[in-house]
Amino acid sequence: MATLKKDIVVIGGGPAGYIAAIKAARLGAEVLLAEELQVGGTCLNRGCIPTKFYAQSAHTILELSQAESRGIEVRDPQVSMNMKKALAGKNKTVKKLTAGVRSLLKHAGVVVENQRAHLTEGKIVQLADGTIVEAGAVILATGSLSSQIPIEGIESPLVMDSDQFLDLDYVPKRIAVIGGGVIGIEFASIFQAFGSAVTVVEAQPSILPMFDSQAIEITAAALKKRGITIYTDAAVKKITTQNDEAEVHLTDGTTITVDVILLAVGRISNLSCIDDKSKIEVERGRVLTDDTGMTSEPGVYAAGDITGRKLLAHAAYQMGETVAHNACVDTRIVTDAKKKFDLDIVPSVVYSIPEVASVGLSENEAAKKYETVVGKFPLSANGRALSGGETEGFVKVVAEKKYGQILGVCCVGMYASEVINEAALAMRHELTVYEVAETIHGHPTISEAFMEAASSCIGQCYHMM
Amino acid sequence: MAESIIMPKTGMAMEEGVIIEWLKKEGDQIKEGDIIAQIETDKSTMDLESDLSGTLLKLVYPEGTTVPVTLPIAWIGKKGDAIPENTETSSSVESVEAVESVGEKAATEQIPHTSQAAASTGKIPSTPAAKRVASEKGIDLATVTPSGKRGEILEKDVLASAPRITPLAARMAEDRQVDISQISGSGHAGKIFSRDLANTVPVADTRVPLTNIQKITGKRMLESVLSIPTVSEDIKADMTRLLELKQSIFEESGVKASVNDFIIKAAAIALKKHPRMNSVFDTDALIFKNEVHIGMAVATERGLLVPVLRNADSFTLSALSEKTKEIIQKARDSKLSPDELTGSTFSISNVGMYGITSFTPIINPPEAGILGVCAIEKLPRFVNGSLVERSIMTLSLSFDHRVVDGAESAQFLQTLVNLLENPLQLLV
Repeated sequence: MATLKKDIVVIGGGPAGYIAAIKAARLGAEVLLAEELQVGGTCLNRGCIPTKFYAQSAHTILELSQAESRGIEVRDPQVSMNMKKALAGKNKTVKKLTAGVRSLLKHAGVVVENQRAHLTEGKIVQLADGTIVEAGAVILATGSLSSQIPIEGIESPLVMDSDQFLDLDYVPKRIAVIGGGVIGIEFASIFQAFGSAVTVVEAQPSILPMFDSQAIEITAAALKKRGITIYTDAAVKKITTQNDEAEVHLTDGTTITVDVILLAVGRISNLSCIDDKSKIEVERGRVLTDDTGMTSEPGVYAAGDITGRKLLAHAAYQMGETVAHNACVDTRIVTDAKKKFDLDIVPSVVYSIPEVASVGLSENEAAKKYETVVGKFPLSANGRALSGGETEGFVKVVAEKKYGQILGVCCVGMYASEVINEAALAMRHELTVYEVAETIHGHPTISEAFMEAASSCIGQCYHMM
Repeated sequence: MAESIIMPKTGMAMEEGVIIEWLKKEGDQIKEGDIIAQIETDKSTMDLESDLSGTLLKLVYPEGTTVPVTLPIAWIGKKGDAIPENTETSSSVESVEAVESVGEKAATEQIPHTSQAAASTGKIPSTPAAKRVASEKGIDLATVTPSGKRGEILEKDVLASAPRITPLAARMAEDRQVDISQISGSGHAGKIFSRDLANTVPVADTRVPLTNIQKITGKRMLESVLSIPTVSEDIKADMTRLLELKQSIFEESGVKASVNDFIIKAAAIALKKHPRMNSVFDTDALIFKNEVHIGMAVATERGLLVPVLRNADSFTLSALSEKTKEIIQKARDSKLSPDELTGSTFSISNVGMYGITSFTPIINPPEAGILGVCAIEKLPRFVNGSLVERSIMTLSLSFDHRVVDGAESAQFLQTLVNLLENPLQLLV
């Protein structure tokens, strides 16, 4: 059986894995990356990117419905979704991006093995074809998979996870989404626009419970206005399937009859890269690491969703880069101190329509730790939002009172996903509300609302009474 | 008037330089920009240019001398100009030691003067823009590393030497009056972040006013320690039989007496037998207390309380147990009457529940002693020649040596141990 020696072996080619491989290779390591499927991971193939392709389609449909108010007269007002074409378009975009990642890896000199791999013992990795690779350091980055929950009838072919949903070549008439988190709400928003009748079932008192409650009120109201039914505090008792119809039975007796069910109850670490015999410590299904990303096995690192730290591609990038550096320190490819994961300020975004985005502490969390001031600027007073016809929403800045440190920012509405990055930049580099308030922002832009909210924290907002 | 050329400070870390070679001699005509000496720093050798024109009046130090930065090393002026006196003395050839002592003196007295003079007369070569930025930002030009062709400080040198700090950290540093030049930043290129200030100001201590009980307790403890010649003695008691008896009593009568109850009972009996332990020292006499009132130290949220069990020797074990439970609860609920808090003749402090195995309790004045009760440990002991597990407890007695001598206190402890090891006596 073939035995190879490599400085660093990366298992998994998603955002954590491919960034780790590129970084390590650029630092001078001989790197082998094993990926069973396409490189790019969940994000490029089954997550962020494909859903954003569809979200844009959904956005366009909703804009078309407003076209007349903008003086656009569409002669044939019939708007319908050709899902086959949308699927092809989405796949083309995905292909383009994964090809881009492949060429980045190739250019960096990373050897990519298109097969499954797992850690056997120590720092020895076995590929599916039997090849043994002895590594100086190993990076586990096999990401996460959709969670399942034990509900009677869950095995029905009409129950799908987000992976399967993204490959639908038709628009289901009626959809039930179990789970009102980020994934569930994005799909609900998209498929409602595509023409599905959508019902969301969420066990918590509110959808998107991790976000600012005022932001969620606006989002929930907008989704309901578009015709999405939302059940909160609702538990699914069982699912029954008959022919091409499924019924979701809630514990309160409500029955929802649909054609397809999307199960979006969160994600669990994919531990396929670890042997049962492996000594890697796992807690609650997640690979335990210290802040340098090292697992319980010296020289074996983990990055991205597999660590269960922050299940976001952009957090995975940061973790991938960190562990690549640290693995190169271990293997003496670079002489430097080890770095730690730096995940304090990580924006999160929901591409619902309207979008919701936040970074840092929520208003309530912040108030528990600091004496806070809150500045909130409504998009109904923002020129860009008004001219764009999307006046629902706001930017909220939560700041520490004494020094004006920005503790958290939440945006809801037009371009929230973009505005949040300015907030993250300010927070990461310790600009306070004072500096944000005195920074001239382009006019008219949605980002101005961030400046206005910051100004309002210090009582200097001129566009609000 | 003669003006000085100083030992330049070419880097933040530079504290002194060595005059390798004088390239001009006294009496030479110097033009601005002429190289007058070679200077060695800890990093490199450099040419020292004169920023003045005139006659070289004085070379202050001989070649090979180490001189602290910013001290005058040469004087330039018109022939006949007076040279300030304090440098006159160090102008002769001196040993390294002597130079160093000048340096030390200078460090305390001269440097501020010299650098001030240099700044005000602009003797540190710098561009006007550099001067302006330095004054705007409050940066001392003497701390700036020059990069100009002739060693002059440029605007960019001043900007580069400005401490890099985030706005938040700057605001915090100002508020806390932290000297940021002393802080090394953890950000890119040494930028100071708020986290770098974390250790500069100790987190403020919390001041909690004492409760009345704590004030009185503190005063009495201090009085005890300062006025009573206290001795402490430890003794071990085998509690195995007592624990068995305690269990039997519970099983047979339902009375749930604690180990503490047995000890109070035993102490009361022992005090009756050794009355000096139950007496009070009163300057020229001993006052024997004919009643045994035992104080029990109880920790409460408001401080240490010592409720008193009056005539402890008169109670049966079950009655004593009930009474102590009652007064301890009252102490915790702050419901003790003054009567229940005063008049004890001897005290007991039990820390056994915390696993303590020995301590030196402080006497509760004016009493003669206090019994400290420690944890019961399972320990190996020889009984009739074989090693067995026994439950062993330490008793720590502190006593007033004016009242009791070491032998008497030991006899008291022996009586006590005998009672505890043969516990049926406590039920009689």
